[in-house]
Amino acid sequence: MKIEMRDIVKTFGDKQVLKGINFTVDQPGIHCISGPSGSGKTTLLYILMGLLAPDQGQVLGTEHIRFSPVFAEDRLLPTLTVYENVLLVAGDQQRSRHYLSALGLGEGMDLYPKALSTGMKRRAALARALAYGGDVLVLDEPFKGLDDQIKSEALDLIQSVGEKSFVVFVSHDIEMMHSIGVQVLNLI
Amino acid sequence: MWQTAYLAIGKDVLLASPKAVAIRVMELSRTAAFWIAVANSLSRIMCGFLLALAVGALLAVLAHFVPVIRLLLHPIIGVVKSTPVASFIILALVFIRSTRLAVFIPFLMVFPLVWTNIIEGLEQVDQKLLEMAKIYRISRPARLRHIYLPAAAPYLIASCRVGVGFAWKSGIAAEVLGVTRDTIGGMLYNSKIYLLTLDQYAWTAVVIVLSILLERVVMLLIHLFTRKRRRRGEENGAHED
Repeated sequence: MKIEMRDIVKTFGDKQVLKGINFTVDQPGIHCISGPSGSGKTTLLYILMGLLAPDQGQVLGTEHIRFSPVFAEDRLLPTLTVYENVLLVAGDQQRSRHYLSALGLGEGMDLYPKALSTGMKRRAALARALAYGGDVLVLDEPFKGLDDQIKSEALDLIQSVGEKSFVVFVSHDIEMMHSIGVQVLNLI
Repeated sequence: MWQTAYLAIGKDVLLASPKAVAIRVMELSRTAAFWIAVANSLSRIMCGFLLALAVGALLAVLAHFVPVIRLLLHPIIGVVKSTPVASFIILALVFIRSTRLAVFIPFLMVFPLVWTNIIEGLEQVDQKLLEMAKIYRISRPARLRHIYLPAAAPYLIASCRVGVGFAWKSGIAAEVLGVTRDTIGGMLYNSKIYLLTLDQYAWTAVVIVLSILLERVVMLLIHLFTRKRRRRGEENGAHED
């Protein structure tokens, strides 16, 4: 599998957010994108997943790719419980329960998103992405609102996925990105 | 206030007393003709109301996804909305039997309301949830059920609440103008023709009471329909990390 983003340019109004970005994912591991707020990290992920068209440049190799995203917002369906949210995309009860339990949501499976704290919502969104089991796990600031203990456990889980599979990880935490990534694209 | 007005006017042929109306309603309710009229009116008007709900909802969903349908329906709905109900009743009488008029007219009054409300509800759908559904390849029926329906539900409930009153009043008007036999509207018309003022007030009271009851029943059904979800939500208290 090889995904290639070539000379990506994206402008919003007067502001050119992405200026000729090149980014290639061609080996399993955690591929990191870092940069300060407003540097275009999320925009680049949207272009990667086909949710946004670049003004210039090409995205190659994504035609048959299934992405498992954790969006910057949790995007859980409010009328379904956490478990139902995960099951809807995973289609497998055991797998859904496994990842929810692994992320410490074993007790909170029957809660609705409205009743969850920020950190719990984040974990639910991560459990959904992991349980879906797409070809590329796409993470946009997945640790927002998590305490250190949970963050460490979640990171272990992501790293174990990254050993065999493809992960694209966006975070402003440049230090962490360098410690876990097979490559780090720094957007300025 | 009614009693004061009655005493001030002092002519039974112009304004009946509340007590006399209540007694007359009781008398009428002891006759088979009363219940036949109520059953006929209720069944036909509710048939028109439910038909409008089903067709309005279906066409709203279609119009949301197929812009051509929306483009075609929009002016028609506009015309229906701005045409007086009496004009429709008189025009429709040329083509439709009076018994079916009490189905058609409530349908015509409620359909634009449902259509407009549901279209508006569907436009409020969270685009971010749709993006999520697209990336996770959630099936179309599941998207409809879990994303579109919850967005449209409050608008559908609002149109039910308003629509049931619309349907009832327009249906009775259709029965009066269509002189439909064995219906509440037909009874109202006969009372007017034969100058039975007391009967006119009695049947009007029946219309009002049934209108209130109908609205309550519809709201009760909506409450029962949504209770399960609400109760499940309430049972799950907030949690902190």
